[in-house]
Amino acid sequence: MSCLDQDRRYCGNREAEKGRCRTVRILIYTGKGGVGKTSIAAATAARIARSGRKVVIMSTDQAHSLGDSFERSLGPEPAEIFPGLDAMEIDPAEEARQAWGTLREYLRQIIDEKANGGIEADEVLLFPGLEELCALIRILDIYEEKIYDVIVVDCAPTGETLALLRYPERLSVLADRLLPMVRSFTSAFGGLISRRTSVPKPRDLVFAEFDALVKRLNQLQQILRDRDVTSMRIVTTPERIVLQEARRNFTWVNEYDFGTDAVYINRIYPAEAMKGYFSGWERMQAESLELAEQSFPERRIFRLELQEEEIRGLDMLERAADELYGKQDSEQAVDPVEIFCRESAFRSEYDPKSGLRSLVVSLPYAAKEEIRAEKEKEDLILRVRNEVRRLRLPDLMGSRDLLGWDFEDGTLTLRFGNSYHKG
Amino acid sequence: MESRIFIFTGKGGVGKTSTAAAHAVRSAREGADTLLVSADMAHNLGDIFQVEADGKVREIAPCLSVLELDPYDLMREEYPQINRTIGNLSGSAGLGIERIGDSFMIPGLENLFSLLKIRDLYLSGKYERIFVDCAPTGETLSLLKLPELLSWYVEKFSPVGRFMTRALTPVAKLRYHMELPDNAAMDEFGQTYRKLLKLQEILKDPDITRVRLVCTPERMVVEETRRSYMYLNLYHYAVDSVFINRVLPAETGNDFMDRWSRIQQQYIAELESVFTDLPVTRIPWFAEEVQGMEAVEKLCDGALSDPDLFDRPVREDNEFYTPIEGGYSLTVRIPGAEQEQVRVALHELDLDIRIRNYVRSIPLPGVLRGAEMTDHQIRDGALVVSFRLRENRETEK
Repeated sequence: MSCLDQDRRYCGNREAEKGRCRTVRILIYTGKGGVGKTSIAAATAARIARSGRKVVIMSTDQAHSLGDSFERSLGPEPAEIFPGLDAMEIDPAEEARQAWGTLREYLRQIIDEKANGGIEADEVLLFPGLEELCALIRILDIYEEKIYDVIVVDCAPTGETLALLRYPERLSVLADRLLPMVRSFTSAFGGLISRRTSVPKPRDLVFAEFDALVKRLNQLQQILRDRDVTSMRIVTTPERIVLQEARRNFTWVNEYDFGTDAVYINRIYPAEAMKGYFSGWERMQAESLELAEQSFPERRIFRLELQEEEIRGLDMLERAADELYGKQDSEQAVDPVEIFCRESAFRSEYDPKSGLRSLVVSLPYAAKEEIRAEKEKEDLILRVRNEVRRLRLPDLMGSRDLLGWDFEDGTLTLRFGNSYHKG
Repeated sequence: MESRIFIFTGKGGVGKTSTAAAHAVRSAREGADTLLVSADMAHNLGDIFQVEADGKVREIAPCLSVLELDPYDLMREEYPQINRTIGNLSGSAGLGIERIGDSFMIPGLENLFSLLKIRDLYLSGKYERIFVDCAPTGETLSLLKLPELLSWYVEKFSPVGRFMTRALTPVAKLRYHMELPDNAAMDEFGQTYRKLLKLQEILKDPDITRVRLVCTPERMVVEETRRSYMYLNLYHYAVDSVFINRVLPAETGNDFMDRWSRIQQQYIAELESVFTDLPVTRIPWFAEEVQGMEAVEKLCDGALSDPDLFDRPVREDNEFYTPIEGGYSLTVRIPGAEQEQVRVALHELDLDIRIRNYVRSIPLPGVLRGAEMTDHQIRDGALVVSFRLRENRETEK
């Protein structure tokens, strides 16, 4: 890493340290609640810090458990766990309050003008999820400071947060197209609306704030999409329902053009746990693990067995890291900062004229006659020689018929019908 | 027919669906017309009963129907004007959105259409009991506070909206090629808003709707379950039971799992000490996944055999007024809330209670008009707010 040649001790003077790193890596851990995402993120952060890089791990989940993992209380500013590793828990509500100061002020004004109470403007959410979005901006702030070589993010459950990352684009379209219009409207009609409805005219500052926020979100999105900077990592367990959701998330993340380079399967039952009462699990777990192998082609898959007790405290975290990445400095040791995969799992295309959609998968080493493709419910099953890939289709294709496919220059294009078919 | 609604909520992966399914099977067996609805986008009702559930009500056993809701379909079919408006608006703004579901600027709003559908199903009177398999806690909570939030918005902004449609729509179209909502759309918004009010009424009536918490004996889950109980009470939903899923047997046949069984015991004890005022039911962890009617029936026969399963009492004292010297005090039960978390503000006849980012606005009775809020305190899991009436304030002067 870039900073290895520099002073890597944390001297507590953040100002002096700003800009010390030339490159920063962001590792985002997501997954359904309760899969042990926090433990895995914490174990990973500890391992990276032990190898001499400066790391911060931040939790943006409202249900903070990071402090629990390290057995100490954490706040919104980085606290040192050991030299080289800082940790913080961000309060999304607080971040939103700071980001939307002026707009909030405006809403408060509306309420005061109308003077009939209701929910305090202070607390009005512009939309649910805004807070989490503001929490993500903190990633950008820390990234830009360039104090840390690696930022590990313990994210709120996948769907909720990642869904938000598609808003920046829309918001920026809104900002570019709507804002000038709204602005000229308000200068033309604002006074009239004010008189007629007692809603006061927004001040320019309100627009400026919206504009600034949208710009930040866009920068954030760019960084999160940059495969050299950010890797998304999905954490799952071998449980069927949990794995199905992880597969859906994998598809989603890919649809929104973020890069997943690794998948973690946590809480795999060791053989001894499946004796006696739970002997039936052996087969279930084997099936799940096979499905997991097929579902995340080309991604690195890390496995962690169910430990003897809850993972808590640095010792246990480091033991978990050894199991995941191999003993530190051993020959088999894997560096979690590595970018394990840069390729997208697929690309989806839409032809507005015909309304047809297609899915494009890159299979560079395949030959046409070796490929078999079929659709089973919402899954696409691709067989290339002995390899089986099982991809959960994006929602828009899952409910359509697979019409056919072509293969040319290592690229497989699957065409889907334009009518919804149910069942 | 007097219909009842049971909403199951809890963190993802704790077994809400199987718990809801077992309730539904038990209900149908009693001969009551039963509907099991999944409002979670990650449906797995079909998986559990091993049938194809496809957005239509489907009878899978005598008295038992299942339905997996697709809010996007609902929106397309039942709210065509809103659908069209959003499409036009986003299309003309160049947002490049192809599908209606994608065009929402408000994440989570689509879930509201699922709730509105549940309202319709309730009002149809076809079912004696409706069981709702909800999305994970966080989403459910934001869903349950949505009606309150939205009605607030509509009241504040509908005059502006009407004005906009009349005056600005033509200008927007001509000058900016933007399609703002027209009158037909505004009418549908209005109707939807009225439905929303009715929905709120249904969901908050303890004689109709009950919320049941599903959890597992794990550290993080205990904390989250406590928190959601607090918020549900804050919004005045009637929570009447807690189900602890995946309880390991004391003897698993191997030391490894026996150790986990002991870890679980610790969290079960904690859950039981937190929910002292609610019946807590333990559901064993089966050696295989709950799949197929037989497995669901096994779950009913074991853990859900309580004869009063559908008639659990709910505390009536969740929100009440007591006369005190010079005025009244209002008591709102919010178990688990702490004094320093709670903020209270009075706006004319609305009392806003805020805990972190959740706010509830309670309309106060007319007698408290002009009253002054003198105190608020957390006592025994309840918030007590004291008011001094105006006439008393005046006579003192």
